Amino acid sequence: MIIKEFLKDLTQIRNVEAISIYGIDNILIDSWTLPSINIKTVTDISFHYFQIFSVLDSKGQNFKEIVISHENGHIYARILPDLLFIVLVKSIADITLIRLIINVKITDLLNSRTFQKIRKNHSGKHLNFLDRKFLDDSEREYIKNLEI
Amino acid sequence: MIELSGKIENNMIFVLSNERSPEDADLLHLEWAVVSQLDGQKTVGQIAENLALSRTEIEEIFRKLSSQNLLVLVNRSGRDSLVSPEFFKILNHEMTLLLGPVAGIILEDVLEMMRMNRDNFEVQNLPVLIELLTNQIDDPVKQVEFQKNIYNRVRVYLFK
Repeated sequence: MIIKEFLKDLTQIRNVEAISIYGIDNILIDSWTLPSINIKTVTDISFHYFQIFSVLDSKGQNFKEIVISHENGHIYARILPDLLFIVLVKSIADITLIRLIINVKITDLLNSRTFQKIRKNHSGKHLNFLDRKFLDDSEREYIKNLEI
Repeated sequence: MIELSGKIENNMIFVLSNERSPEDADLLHLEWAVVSQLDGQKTVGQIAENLALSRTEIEEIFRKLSSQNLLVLVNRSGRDSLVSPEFFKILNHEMTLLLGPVAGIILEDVLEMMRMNRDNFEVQNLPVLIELLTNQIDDPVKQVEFQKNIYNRVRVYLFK
């Protein structure tokens, strides 16, 4: 519903194959895929990005976006204070346009009543999902000593 | 079908000719790789990107394939894929509101950096132009304001 309302332009980019938006607690807020794309694949990929951003957050690295080659295309992942965007795109040339559309539409999305309701249901939770959910002390120490 | 003459452009789209099979030509490994990418949808630029080939390399390969009558050009840049000069007037106006009288100079500098000009600017390069111009604005709030103001104009070209 959110993608259709606020990010329809993303779905009209010829090379975009899938879009997923997650809340900070790995909760799928909305998704859109071409019929040929398995949403489960996108969900699995997104979980890895939560882990990556969480490790970077632990290390005080202020990464906002990551682009990685994936099969015949690329994955664009962008973290915002309350959201994670994952976009599967065939051509890296379209990433500038994807970034522009998210920049332009994000304020309306965040201020929308729909999103405010979602945020209310998951308020007070920390971005660092990995740390809060999965890590024991030795793993926290390992990440602390990682050189990134 | 369009006759190929002159430069191989990044936004050209080719398919294999029905008149001659690539198996009849003496093709190198990379040339076969390019042939395998020809699907009537991917542009020359996208194929170069997929195969990590430089501009010179991809142009050479397409020239060779074309000279051996293996290719048919199905689409290429026309006036429809160019941005109108009117757009640059609007862009200049929006930038002047944020940056003052230096806006025009900055716009020309960015176009020069992209090795393009107002008369021959392809629609597909608009997002990069907007991003480069945004980077010239220091204030993050004004950056967003600029992108929002100009996006609806850009959108008309990108999704027509």
